[in-house]
Amino acid sequence: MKKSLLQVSDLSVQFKTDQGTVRAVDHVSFDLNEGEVLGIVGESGSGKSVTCLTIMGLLPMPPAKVTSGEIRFQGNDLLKIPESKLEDIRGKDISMIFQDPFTSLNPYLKISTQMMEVLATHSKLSAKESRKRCLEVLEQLGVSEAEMRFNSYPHQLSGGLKQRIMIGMSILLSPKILIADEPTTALDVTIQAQILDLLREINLKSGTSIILITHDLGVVAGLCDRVQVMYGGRLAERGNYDDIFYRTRHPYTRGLMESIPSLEVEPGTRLKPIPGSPPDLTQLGDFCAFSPRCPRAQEICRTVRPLEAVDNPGHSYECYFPVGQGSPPASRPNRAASMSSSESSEVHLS
Amino acid sequence: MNAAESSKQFAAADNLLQVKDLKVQFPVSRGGFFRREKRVVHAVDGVSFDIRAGETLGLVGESGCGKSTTGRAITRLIYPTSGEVSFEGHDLLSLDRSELLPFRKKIQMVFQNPYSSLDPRMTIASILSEPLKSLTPMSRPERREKIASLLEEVNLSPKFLNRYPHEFSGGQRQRINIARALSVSPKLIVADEPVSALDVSIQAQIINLLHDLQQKFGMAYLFIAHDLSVVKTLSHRVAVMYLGKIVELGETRILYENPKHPYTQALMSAVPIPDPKKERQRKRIILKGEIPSPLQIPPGCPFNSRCPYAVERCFVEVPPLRRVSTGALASCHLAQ
Repeated sequence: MKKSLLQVSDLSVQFKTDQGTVRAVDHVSFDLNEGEVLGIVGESGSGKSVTCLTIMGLLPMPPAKVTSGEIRFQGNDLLKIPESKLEDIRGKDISMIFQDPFTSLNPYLKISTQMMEVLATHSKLSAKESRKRCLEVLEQLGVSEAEMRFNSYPHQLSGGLKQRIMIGMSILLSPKILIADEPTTALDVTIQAQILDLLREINLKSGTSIILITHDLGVVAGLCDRVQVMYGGRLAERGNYDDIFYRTRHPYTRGLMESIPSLEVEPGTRLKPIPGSPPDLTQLGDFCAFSPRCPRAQEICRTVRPLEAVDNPGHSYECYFPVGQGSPPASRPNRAASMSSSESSEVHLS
Repeated sequence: MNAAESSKQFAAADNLLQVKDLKVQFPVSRGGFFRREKRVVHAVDGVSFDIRAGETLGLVGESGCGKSTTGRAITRLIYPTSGEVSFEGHDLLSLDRSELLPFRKKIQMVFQNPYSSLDPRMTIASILSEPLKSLTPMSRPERREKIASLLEEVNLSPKFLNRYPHEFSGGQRQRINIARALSVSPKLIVADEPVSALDVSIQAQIINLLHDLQQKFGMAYLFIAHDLSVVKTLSHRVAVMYLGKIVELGETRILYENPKHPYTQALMSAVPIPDPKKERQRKRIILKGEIPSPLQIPPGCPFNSRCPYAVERCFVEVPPLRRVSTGALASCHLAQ
């Protein structure tokens, strides 16, 4: 049994805007085990990035506000510890790669300055040792002519190379957790394949746990041990990759899979899209977020938010009328199997 | 190049658009005032293909391969450096602005970014009536009627007519873009990455819409995209571009089942399959390095710097686009 490294429980994050309160993350729980790759899948507005920015303590508050939950890492609640302590963890134990390699490096500073800054902040290495460590990491990442790249400015490098540098910066201190927010979305497919290979290697060789945020189920299929599918700031379904891909229960997960144009689709076939558009997060009430687009939705879906139902340990979903094998756990007792009391009381309050 | 033989469903006589040896070059200069060094980006470097009436030709490639520039040169948003573009037998490149006007009606474009391709200060009604005003003799009431029916064609409610673009989601905006292109009943729509800015669940809606509209109105598409799986569902034939050149062109099914050019093979194998069992067992070709700069295209085959099979000949001689055993056209010395 793998040891749990990070536990996110009942996390809610809201934004106050002129249009109303946006419930960006709404009572979401998951944990990350040592050495595993967890995929968080969802479309824009599903809350996947906000969840991870909250873990990193990078959300501007206000306008953001954490309204419930905790994030436990090595015995601490990351939401409660002082900023100075969080600074020690951030970048060292937990680091992050962002989606856009074009804007996440400072254009005014050389790669060397930016990489060595990480070591200067978090380690006691001398300048010479830092330099050596940086070059070592770059070579490990397959950056050709590492020395020359190290002394360049970001604009002199291609997108794929910038993303390699970003990954390099994030693993300089051998973090326990690497959060990768859509690390390949801005890149071409052949470069994407290179970067995904690199992440796989980091995970296998150094045992770094990875949270991979993506909208691409294909990327998940190749890399992730467990998957968390999110919709409208909430959990749709989670489980290991077998559960998600071959024992799909949530209609949204199913819809997502059916709507992807895959290389295996015959030319000229019509796709099966999910009707409608993603939810307006200011208008979400305590009902199932997917119900307006769901082919299986019934009255109860539109009035009461479903609790997390459990199929087998580790595979669960928020749905009254799941798809797939077995009888649907439509009645209430079935659904509450593993819920914290706080969440069930929330549902009853509504 | 005569790609007509590769597809039986469209007779060669139906050629709507013919592109021959199209080249687009952008001069760039660098260095100081006195030591200015003139260099040339070879964005499109001798591309030839044709599109038949009612057909979808997919144009795929990675960023910087020249696929969008090709699309823009055909619609004459960019004037190409050399080559031929003929539409229904008329040479588009020799026409001046006023002579080109009738062809604007026949060739329309849908752009990638649904946020920047609609004027935020115009209502949907005025956005959709603009092409009708400038390209057709329709009267005001006729236009009103046409616009309402257009919205219906793209599955939007006519009650949206007096709204502004910001009130719509990305998918809805792309529907408006498509309706605008559709308004003048074009024979060819150049769609430049029409779904890549959209969420996965919305992509499928737009792809289906494009599919249905083609069935109904019979226009041809030049469908430009970087996503091989998106291209596969819509296209009758597919052309793969690399560094300004077409490296392989053939019927969709054949090209996907039996790619002959090493770049096409690598591109296919790099697309993740959303099925863990297949994805984890599959043999992948991971290309080394990156696309060379179009400022300095290597001599010989443009793909030689990344090709796993390159032999001496590939560094000297440019491989011509020629017919290979599958019936597709491929530009590789080694392809059988």
